[in-house]
Amino acid sequence: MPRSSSPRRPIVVGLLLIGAAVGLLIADHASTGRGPVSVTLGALVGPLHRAISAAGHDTRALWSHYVALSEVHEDNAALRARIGELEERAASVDGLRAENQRLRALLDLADTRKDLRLRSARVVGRSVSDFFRVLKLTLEVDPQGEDAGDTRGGAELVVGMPVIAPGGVVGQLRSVDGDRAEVLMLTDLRSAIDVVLETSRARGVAVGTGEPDRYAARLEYLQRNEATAIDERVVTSGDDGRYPAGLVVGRVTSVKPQPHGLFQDAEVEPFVDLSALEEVYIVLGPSGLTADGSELQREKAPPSAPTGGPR
Amino acid sequence: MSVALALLAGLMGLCVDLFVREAWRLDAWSPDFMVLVILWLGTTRTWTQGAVIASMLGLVADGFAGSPAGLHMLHALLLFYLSRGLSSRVLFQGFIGRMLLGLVGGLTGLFLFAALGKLVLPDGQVALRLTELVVPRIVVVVLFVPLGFPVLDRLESTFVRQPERDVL
Repeated sequence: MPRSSSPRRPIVVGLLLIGAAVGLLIADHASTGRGPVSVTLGALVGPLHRAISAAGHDTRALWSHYVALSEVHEDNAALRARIGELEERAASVDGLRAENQRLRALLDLADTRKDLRLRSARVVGRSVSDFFRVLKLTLEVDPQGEDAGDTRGGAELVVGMPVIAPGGVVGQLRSVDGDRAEVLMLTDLRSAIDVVLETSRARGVAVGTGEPDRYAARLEYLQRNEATAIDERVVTSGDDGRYPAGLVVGRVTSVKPQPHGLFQDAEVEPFVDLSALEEVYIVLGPSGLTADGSELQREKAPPSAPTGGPR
Repeated sequence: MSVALALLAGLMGLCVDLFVREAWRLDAWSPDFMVLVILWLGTTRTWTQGAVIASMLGLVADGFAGSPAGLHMLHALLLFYLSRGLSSRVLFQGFIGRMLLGLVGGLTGLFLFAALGKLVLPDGQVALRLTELVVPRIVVVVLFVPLGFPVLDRLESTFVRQPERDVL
């Protein structure tokens, strides 16, 4: 430990310094404003004080910006999550809009075919097969309708009833089990529909091709001498006792005249997009009205319920 | 050179204190480097030299603090004498020893300043401020004294030439 040279010197210096400090304090306290020593001290250390304060302030600003940036990251993450949520909602709205359009088309179909008693059903699945073309349906029970209180849902459904969608014919009921049903699509190998070409009035039978990679039907028994045009619409004739007349089946996509025999080959593409069906109507039978909703003349008996089945 | 280094260290301590307060608004938790340097002076300097340096630093601290001239000067002087008096009787070495010096110095320095502050500040304000400061100031000083003393010692051994001694 260092030691002072003279024993009295530290005491004297100490007393002097303490005295100076107390004197400064008293002088400063006695003055009305800041004392001259304070003012001088302030002037001396002022520039250094300001410089360090500015540096500290800048550092603080930098720090604040850094912290703010980290908050921006959090905001960014929150906004990304929000965007994801909104995109999901937008996709949901798009889905609802598409569903709305489909249902509107379905209602339009019901409006244009008031001559038919229709029953709506929802497509819940498709057959997983390379050979068969079957749709799985779930029946929607109408609480105000004829099935009110019937938990089975498909009380009045009969195998063979036509199934239609806004684009035209889908097929016919293959089986009914409670509130579930299966539809044999018109493109299934087992399906056969008596049809007529809308313009040429040529008649034939639309038989499903059953091809796994596309939906199509083959026109059989089409007279060779009939002038069949590409894109000509094919509609049901109503003569098979199963499909009401005038339902659109599809359009002719190819015609191959045979050099021999009585018939020619033609292919029909369904108007209904069978790969994207979600809702369908099951035709229960005639409603007793005309297509526009007016009362039907009671001159002849109403047509009987379809009795035929799949081919 | 030794005096200049001590003054420079004290001035740097004041500047860092000011910077930290400005940059991070630590306020009560700001490391009081001025007290640290004054306590260090007490363990390394003679009565006279240490008192002069402490009073000069205290005066500069008055300029920085905007307090009445002489307040920090008197505080620094008394704190130096306390540290010097303790160091002449007790050897504060090692981490724990220096923490103990920090505890005594920090606590006494705070109450000393509060007592001096009563001369120029209203009683209520001093008591209130003392309540706010007592824990953080002691914690900070207790932590920084053992950490800061080796740094100051190293600075002094680096920049101040030690008198050559004959080894007998």
